[in-house]
Amino acid sequence: MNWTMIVFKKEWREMLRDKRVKKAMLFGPIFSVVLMMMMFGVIFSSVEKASKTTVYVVKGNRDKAVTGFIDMLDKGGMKVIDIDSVDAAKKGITKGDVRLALDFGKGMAASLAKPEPFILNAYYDPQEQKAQIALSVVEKESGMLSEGILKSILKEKGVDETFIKPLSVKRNEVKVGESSSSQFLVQLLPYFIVIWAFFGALSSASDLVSGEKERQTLETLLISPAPRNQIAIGKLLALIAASLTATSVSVLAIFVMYYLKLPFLQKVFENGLGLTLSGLFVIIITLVPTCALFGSILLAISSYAKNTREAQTYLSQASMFVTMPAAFSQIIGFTDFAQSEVVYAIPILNTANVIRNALMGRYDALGIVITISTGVLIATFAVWYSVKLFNKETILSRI
Amino acid sequence: MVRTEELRKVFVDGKRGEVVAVTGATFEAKEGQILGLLGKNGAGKSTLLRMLSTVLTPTSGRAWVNGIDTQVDSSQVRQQLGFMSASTALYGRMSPREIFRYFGELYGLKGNQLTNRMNELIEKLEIGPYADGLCDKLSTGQKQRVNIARTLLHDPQVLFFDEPTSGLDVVMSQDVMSFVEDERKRGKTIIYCTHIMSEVDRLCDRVICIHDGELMGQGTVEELKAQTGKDTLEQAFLSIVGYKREVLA
Repeated sequence: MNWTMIVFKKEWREMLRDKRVKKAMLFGPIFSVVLMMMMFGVIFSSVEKASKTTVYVVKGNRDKAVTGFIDMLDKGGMKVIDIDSVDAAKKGITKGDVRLALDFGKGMAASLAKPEPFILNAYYDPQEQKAQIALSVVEKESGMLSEGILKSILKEKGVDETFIKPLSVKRNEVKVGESSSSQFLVQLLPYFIVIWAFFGALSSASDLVSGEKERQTLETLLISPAPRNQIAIGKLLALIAASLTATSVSVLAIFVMYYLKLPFLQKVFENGLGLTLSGLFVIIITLVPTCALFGSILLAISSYAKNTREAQTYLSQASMFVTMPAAFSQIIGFTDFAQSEVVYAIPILNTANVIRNALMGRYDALGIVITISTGVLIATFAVWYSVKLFNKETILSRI
Repeated sequence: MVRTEELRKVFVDGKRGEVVAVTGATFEAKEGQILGLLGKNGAGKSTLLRMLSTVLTPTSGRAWVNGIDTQVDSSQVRQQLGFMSASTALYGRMSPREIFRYFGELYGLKGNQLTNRMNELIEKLEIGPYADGLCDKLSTGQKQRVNIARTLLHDPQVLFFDEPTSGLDVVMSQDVMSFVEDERKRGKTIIYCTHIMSEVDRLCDRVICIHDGELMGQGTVEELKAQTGKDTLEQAFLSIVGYKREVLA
């Protein structure tokens, strides 16, 4: 008789009826992914808007050069408003009406024609990030204007204009992977996918064995003819299913957000999703042993704990050990560890790193094998320990 | 039939060292009879039942349920058993019918056989009106009826009741005892743990007094009274376990 499947079906049914589990397994991943995307979408579009912000220009002599410069800012998306004086402009900045004010002074056209140095005064609040962005746009425009003037002077004097930049760097991108997600997705998605593989099953774990001890339903189950190892495996399968569901939902939420093509998410998905079929396959085969690992750790904790309160204490401590390596995966690209084989032997971090690489279209076969093997090895040990706990008398007498 | 020989259970506690929960337990419970295990809280009654139901392994001694050695084929032993305790809860997010199906499948019942048995017990125990509602919403009495049905679902030959009326009102307690009596009539071997003398008086064909893990005396209620020279079972029990008060002198 297949007692494992009987226990699994019952546990799974109960999980789906538990509001806390549903929140953690379904709504949690969706909510967090959507919130994260929206948050970064808003940040990216705000940065873009900052370059198209309103700028005060102090009234004064509007010669040809000033008009030309203002036209350039206008074409770049900036809204230019005239203001009476520098003091009035400063007041506007203090009040927050505007983030940047420009004072062209007098004789810009004449100075540029001679040519002699001309100072364009920019007023801004240095603590205001959007002002910094607007200022960088103005500096870029003035740099281009200066370069244009210099080129024409050189041309007049018969000097090759390329002498403006005797040394320059040419960027040549080397395509490493099949396709790549944006840097933002590469940094954040592995963390989210791994975290939800753990937290998706966390809320049901304490109920599964320690909850049964507390309610005294475990004894009735142990008195049934079902062998204890089959009961343990049935419960483990339910936890793995919860873990896989939560992590799949988080991936699915990303797909949905991508295909919705929301305007404020354009920057987030500027390189597309960057996830190929082979990438998806690698993520799945890496996640399955990771979910098994999480499931077996959660089951072992739940089996060891005397009651749900004790289980929840241990589970919150365990969540720290999962969160930390997962969080490290966000900054691993800035370190030498990203390319190190050692990373693949570190549980959780290895999964996050394989997912990160898959999102960049990179597949390190050895790394994937080490990651899966490490996950399977530790999961096997944790399953063995859980089953051992189940077969001990203390599963009941530690109450 | 249930038979034990010198059953002993010792727990090893980190602080207290070795704790003898049951020692030298030798007795026999026959078919069509109710054997009462009478003892105060912590006397070792539950440990004894747990050893018989194979949840705990005896430190020494042997036990047989329907002729099957509990340490040789524990799965077969459990197949023969029905166990009910007042403290056993139900799965709150499942309905009684779902719980019956779950335990029925665990005990190897399938298809029509399981459905018919479920319907039979739902009717007999008058569970019908709430058979499809969640167990979390049931009253204590309703839960106990569901518990009884779950215990009897696979029609076990041997039944263990561990203080089944604890926490129940008088009416429900009477109902539980009636069900126990019904099962005796059907020829089942029943071990009934309690510390309530009136229940022993009403139900038990034979009684074993257990105190600090030791079986202190066994026989019918009348035999125990005669052995101790007391008029009531309560006095007889207290005399057997060595309770010293002037009123007993």
